[in-house]
Amino acid sequence: MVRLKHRYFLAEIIFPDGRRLQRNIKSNDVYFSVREALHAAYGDYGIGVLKSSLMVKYLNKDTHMVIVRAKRDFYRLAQAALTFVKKIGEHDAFLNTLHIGGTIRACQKFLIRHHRQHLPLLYQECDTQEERDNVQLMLLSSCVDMETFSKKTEEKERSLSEIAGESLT
Amino acid sequence: MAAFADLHVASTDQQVLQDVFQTAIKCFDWLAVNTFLTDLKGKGKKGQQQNQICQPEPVELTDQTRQLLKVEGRKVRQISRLTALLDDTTNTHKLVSPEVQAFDLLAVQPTNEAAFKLACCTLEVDIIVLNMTEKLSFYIKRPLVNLAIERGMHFEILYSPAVRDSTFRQNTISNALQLTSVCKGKNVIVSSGCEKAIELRGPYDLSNLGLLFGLSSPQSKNAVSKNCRAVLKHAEARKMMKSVVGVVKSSQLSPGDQWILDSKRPLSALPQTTQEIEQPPAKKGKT
Repeated sequence: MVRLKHRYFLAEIIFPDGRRLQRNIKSNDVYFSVREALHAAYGDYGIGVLKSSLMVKYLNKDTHMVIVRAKRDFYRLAQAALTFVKKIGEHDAFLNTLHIGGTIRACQKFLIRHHRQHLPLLYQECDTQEERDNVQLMLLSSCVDMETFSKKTEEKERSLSEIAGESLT
Repeated sequence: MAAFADLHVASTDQQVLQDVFQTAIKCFDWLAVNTFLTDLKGKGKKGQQQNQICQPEPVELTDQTRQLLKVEGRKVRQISRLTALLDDTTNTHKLVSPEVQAFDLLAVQPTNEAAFKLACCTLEVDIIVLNMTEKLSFYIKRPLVNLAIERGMHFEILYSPAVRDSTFRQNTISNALQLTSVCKGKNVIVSSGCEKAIELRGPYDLSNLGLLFGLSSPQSKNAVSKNCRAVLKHAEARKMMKSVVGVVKSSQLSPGDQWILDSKRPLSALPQTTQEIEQPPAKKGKT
């Protein structure tokens, strides 16, 4: 089949001077810094090989999460290039790869799980009561989502077993 | 490995060509000198000058070159080649004209998808060149490429631009990878497209470069030797049209092929043979 297969890297941009500052980073900045790193490490061959497939698919300025795409055959080159990134835009930063997935959806699923796990940590970092309340609300809503999610799956399983039971009798 | 060929020497200056030949004879057995045709149009409107297609001229080898060839006991065959830039799909009748057919090899460089489709499906050419130095403006589609391979056409990757400039190198690798992934490495030739003697490279290095372009190791070796030969055979077949037998005048036989004449029976013996055939065979009596 003529299906172009890619790998999607979910990476967190880590700024050494703390996380709270408001930064204006664009997906273009990330793209060019990855390309520069690729050129520095693998030269013209590295760029030639990933020229058509290297792309920044998702960037969240506030959570500093980025999804970068590369072709499956050469994704190791791209991953190595990600580790060599030193600067994004004007800011010093580096990329910490969290997950490599075959589809964007897989990366997004991981991202949701990752955020859910790290919300309680955020709660500890809060300074004011207002912030704490906000985070608590977020936590609760995510738990509610989890409850409804688990309830839905329970219902589905019950209905499936009923149907299976009917077919047997 | 078999004999190597460089099927695209882009320069047209005699002096440069002599240098190129002197450099190339060490490793290559066939060299094709290219004439690039930018326009396939016929007579222009309002009495514009028609694009004159110059006749292919053989390159005069210098004495030094001849000496080198003698020392090594090798022969180098010169092949004339024409590359036509294919923009407009309606003006292709010139390709069948005798001036164009006088060239040994015919190549076509399509610039858009319609031209590429035409080249793969209908045109009678030997090589399809794609401009690798810039991002391809169209996607290379698998059914068209398969059809071209079935018809015996080959796709060419030029490496001299990659040697010259960094951006060209990136684009060449990128486009070559796209091409080889679609055609699965079949029917690909690697040739220089050189404008100076310094841009030439040896065939073993080229077969290594093929690995960068996405070819596998045996495919890459074929790209410099076997596939080039296949192109030349295809060109010969195209010149002979659809025939099974080719006729060559005995006076025009090369000295290497003269033995064919010597081994045949002399003409005086022929009438006797016809008489023998005319007489009916003697019947055997009953024993």
